[in-house]
Amino acid sequence: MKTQFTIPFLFFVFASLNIFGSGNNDAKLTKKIFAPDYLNFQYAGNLGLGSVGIGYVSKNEKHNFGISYGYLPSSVNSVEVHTVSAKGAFNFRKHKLSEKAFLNGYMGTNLLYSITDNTYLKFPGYFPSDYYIANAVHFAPFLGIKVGSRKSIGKFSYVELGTLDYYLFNRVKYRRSKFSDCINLCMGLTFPLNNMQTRSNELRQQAF
Amino acid sequence: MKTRNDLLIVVLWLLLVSCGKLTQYSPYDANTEQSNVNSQNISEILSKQQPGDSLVFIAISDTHTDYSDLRAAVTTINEMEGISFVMVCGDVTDWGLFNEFDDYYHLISRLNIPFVTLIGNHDYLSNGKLIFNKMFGPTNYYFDIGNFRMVVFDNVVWENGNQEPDFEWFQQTLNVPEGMTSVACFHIHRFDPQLENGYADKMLGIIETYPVSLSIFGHGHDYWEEEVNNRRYLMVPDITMRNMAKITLANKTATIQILNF
Repeated sequence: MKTQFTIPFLFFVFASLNIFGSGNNDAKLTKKIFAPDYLNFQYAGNLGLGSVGIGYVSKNEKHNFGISYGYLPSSVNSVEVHTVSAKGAFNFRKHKLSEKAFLNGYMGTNLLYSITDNTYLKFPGYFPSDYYIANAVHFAPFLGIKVGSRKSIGKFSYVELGTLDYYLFNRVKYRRSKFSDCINLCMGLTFPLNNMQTRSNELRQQAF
Repeated sequence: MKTRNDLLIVVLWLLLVSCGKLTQYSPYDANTEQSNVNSQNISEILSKQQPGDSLVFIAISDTHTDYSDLRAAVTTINEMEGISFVMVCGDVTDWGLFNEFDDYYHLISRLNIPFVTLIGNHDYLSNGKLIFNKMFGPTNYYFDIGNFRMVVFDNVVWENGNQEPDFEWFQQTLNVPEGMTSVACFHIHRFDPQLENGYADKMLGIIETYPVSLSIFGHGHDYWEEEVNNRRYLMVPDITMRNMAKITLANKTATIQILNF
């Protein structure tokens, strides 16, 4: 389990510390490509009790991509779950709240990979092949709203209403009695990293 | 402006906390509201049973997430009279997720009579065994009702880390006092590859050593009945077949009726 987390953890640390970018011009170019635009912290949302991640914003600031690591300690409900997530989002609505604040509506999905008991990408050899499909990976689509300062677009708080592929499938197929059974809420905070602030300042006039 | 944003964050946090049921940490969480459902229901079964009564119960199996079929079964059973309890022979989930266990519980608890649940191989997946333990209790258990002992035996192998089932517990529990007989309930049938490595022979050997009126199980998703070495075996059809087994126990013998619903 430790080995499985080493690579994403190191990537997260390197990216967060902007280690890709220092020194000569080539390194600066690499920094532009790889250095993350923001750091985010999230509560709940199928990623664990809490999660921490890094993210990137597209040049036109309409698309976001991020990776996160979340943890659910066994002290909460007796099970320990590690989750790695890749997240993609599309800002479909921009609204200027005031000269200093914005509100965006967005949608997207997380691709979750979780490590906990009896959860596999490939089941152990004593199972016949194709007995079960992988149960460690899920898509978790969401709708979200973020509110933040126009001075620093990368700094905002967000709330997401999400679900899980499997819950959605069951909802459509079996018509569960309550819609609330298959949805969940989460909340997060995002902090801009250096280049994000720069880009935000450059694009501030274009953004709205 | 900063104050307004901070205020908004606080409001959002309060909203989230007040919607506690809407927050989910992980699909693999074990956030169950119910606990010890089996022991509570067994107490209810025993409190209602009169000495000398014949015992009539319904067995259903492999409900998975086929909720419309489970709803129909519950409605049918609620219209029946003289049934002591319902035995659900495992696989009440697809992936052992707490959300699935919750859905199953909320549907099956609409029964007017008590029910007991045994664990199936699907229920083991993810953190399913732990959730089952929290929600329903131990996976091996028994209760004495009149002259019958209902023995619920967890014989899942692969999903239990490829471990041998607790045959010692099974053997000790089937060793009933003089005058009693047992009904053995488990999920995996003897022809399943899970019980290769001699486990099926071991299980049947134990059943044949002690007075067992009937052995019932699921997993095969079909109806099947046979008698081997003077012991009777019943595979309870899955819920999507819209069949249930009505089992009447009297004078150490079992009568089986398959009912369509």
